[in-house]
Amino acid sequence: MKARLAALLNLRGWNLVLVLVGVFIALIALLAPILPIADPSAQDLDATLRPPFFQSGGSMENLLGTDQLGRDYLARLVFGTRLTVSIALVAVFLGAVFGSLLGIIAGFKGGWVDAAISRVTEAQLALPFILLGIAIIVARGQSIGTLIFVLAIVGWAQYVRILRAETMALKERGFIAGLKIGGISDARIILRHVLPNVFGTIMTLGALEIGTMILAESALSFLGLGVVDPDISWGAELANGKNYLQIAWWLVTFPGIAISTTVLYVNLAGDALRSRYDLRKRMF
Amino acid sequence: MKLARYIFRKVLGGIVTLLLASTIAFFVTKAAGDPTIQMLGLSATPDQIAELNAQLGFDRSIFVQYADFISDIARGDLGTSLFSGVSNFEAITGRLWASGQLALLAVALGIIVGIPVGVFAASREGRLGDRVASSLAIVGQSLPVFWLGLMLVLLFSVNLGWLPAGFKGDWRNLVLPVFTLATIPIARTARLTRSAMTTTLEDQHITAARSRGLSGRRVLFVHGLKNASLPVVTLIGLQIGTLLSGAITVETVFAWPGLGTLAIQAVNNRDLPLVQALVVFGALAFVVINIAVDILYGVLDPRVRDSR
Repeated sequence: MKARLAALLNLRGWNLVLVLVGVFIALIALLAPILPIADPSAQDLDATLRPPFFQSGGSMENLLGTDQLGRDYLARLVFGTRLTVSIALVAVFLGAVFGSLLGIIAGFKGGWVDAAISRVTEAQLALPFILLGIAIIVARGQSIGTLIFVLAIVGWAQYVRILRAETMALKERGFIAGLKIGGISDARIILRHVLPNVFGTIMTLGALEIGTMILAESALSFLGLGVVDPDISWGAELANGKNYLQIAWWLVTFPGIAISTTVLYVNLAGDALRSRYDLRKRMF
Repeated sequence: MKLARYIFRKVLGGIVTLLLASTIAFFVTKAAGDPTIQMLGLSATPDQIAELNAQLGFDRSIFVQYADFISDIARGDLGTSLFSGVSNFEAITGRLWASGQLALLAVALGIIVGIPVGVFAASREGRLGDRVASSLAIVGQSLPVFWLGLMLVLLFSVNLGWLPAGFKGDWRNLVLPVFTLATIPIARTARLTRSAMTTTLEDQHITAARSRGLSGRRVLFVHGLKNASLPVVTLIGLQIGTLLSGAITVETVFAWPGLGTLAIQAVNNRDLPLVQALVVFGALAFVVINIAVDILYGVLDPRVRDSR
């Protein structure tokens, strides 16, 4: 069955590994409530700051130890996957839709529309994202909705630049001019003919942005501005673990490993997509 | 004269970018919610909220407030801190050197380490040395830098006791924060140098230099790197923004008294004017550095200043 699926998607070797890892991460996030792990919020004040199982004082009961309230750390990391990954995905989706649309319009229309969109994009790129995020959070107060808003604001500009260039290159080709002469409306040309041709680019950029978003979410949560207790994310665990750095190394080490390996995976997958769609030349 | 016109155009463009960036900063924070409730807490009475709104000028129409905000910026006035009453400009310049030190040293390390690593990897494209260097670079880009900082503290301060974890003001305090912050510039510079070099090394002039019998190292550094250097210069300018953002978390880890910790204090005090001033200042730094890079570009490569 697996072999047939792989053949269906024409996946071999490295690409197959990448897909399987992605499926694995998605399964952990989706199945967290039914996996045989402890309740991530259940406190046990008799078992606080237990080390992982391989260190003396640790036990098989809490494989990765417990935090300062005696909560099972493995369970918290598994549940942290859900919020960390879904926040990143929603933010990437919002940024991609908004940014790609603006980029395609700028490239397609040209003239003053292009000039205006390009100027605003440049201005957005000049704003340091954590500072802007801090400003929005101070003004709005802290919530997961605000966090996603901040991340989407940070992400959109990247798509505009690349999609604009893509669309301009596409316009040079005869068939778009032909459709225009044929009296097809701009909206229809964009939706039916431009969008399908740049879709691979959007997907590739989106994949690469997921890593950026996970890092941004963890940075904001680390500063206490993103996800906070009782919600669980890897960044929030790092923020908490920082306070116990001297006495409980596992509290800062494990969430960092989770973030780094996930982001590394996303970057590798994005690179694979990039070479598939031959984006390298246009990106830098 | 062409160069003068080129510089003028870049500076003008930079001013427009800065004003637009300030506009974005104003509207996303303003349209987003009611900052006075955030400042006073949920227990505030309507009278208190109205009073603070009047004091901050928030009771005026949004366009009047915007005009005020922009004209202040245009005159170089970044407002006054709500919490301390000190001018924001003074608060920022007072911390600037501490952060600037970290950023400059991190960029310098990025150049000193990143470029040779990239050249090395390109000269061995596809072989073991390249694979190791390229893998390290992609891992370096995937780490949350502040986490790397925590790990370094854990290793060098907590376990080995070689370096101080907190801020005490001598050079040993610089080591860990600078290395932490330098990870991103090192990894990015190495990756970009590698890709720019691999394209350059396929050029005919490299083959020509080799066939003239020049030494391998001379070909690499003199004929190769010189031609691959333009995109690397651009990247160094673009990195400043990322560095400013990275500096905030890294400064928090090391309790470094720079702009990042100033921003966190501003958040804790719900000091919106200071936060906005920091955002505008960050954009200003980005714009100024990129104008400098553009001008350098124009001086290095005459073709650039002729084109639009």
